[in-house]
Amino acid sequence: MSPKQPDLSNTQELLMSVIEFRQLYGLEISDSIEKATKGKRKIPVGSLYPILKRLEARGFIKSEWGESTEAREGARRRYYSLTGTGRSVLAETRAIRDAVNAYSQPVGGI
Amino acid sequence: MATVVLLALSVIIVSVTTLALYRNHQTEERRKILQHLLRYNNLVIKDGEYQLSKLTRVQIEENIKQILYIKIENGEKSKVTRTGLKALTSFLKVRMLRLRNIFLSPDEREEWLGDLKEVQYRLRYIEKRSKWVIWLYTIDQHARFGWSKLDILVSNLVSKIIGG
Repeated sequence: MSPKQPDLSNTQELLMSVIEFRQLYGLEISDSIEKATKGKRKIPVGSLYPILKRLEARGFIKSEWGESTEAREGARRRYYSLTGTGRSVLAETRAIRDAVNAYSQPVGGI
Repeated sequence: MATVVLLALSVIIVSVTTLALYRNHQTEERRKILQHLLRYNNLVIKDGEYQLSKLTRVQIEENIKQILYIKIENGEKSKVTRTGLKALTSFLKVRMLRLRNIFLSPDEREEWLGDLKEVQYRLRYIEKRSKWVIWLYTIDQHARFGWSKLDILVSNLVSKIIGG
């Protein structure tokens, strides 16, 4: 699939938007989406990773291991960030959505 | 002749390396399972060997007897004791851990379970939620993760079939 033809789902777009300017790990991504949408959208931890893996496999995001904490019983955190391809795909997806929104605006007060 | 010998040597080296890597991976898996079992007192170290603790063994046997009894004597009052139930839970937990480890790569396990533990920690110590809530949350997350994995597996299979 060509990265020039973005077909991001809403959830994928949300995920990528959250990590656009920050490196976050899974739980932070889930929490950020919940906070940003004031609880209207939640991505449970159980559903999050398969989506992240798919995005990573498509080259839209990248990840690296971080630190471990006591609460995690020694397991390390894995931090995600956007790749260059991911950034342009996200921009293109937004542009398409904006274009469709602008096109479907009511004309002449009908 | 030299080519054949070289080829044979390469095959042997690759096989030995693969076997060594596999064994190393298995040792790591074993170490993690042992850590878990020790933490929940399902194992004891006796004469330098890991053994199922006597208490756990007795509890499991007792519990199985009681479950059988309940099955036979249908309609009788429940005879499952608290310890028996606890033993069965930890017994099933170990089986579930093994089952889960088949489906998860070590990286996935570290990342996903680490995050899950962090949430559990938050629920237990910061939000002071009940054990029941934490248990329900854990089951829910396992189900979601399992479902997502299954979904990926099926869509990969379908796309392979369609793609020929």
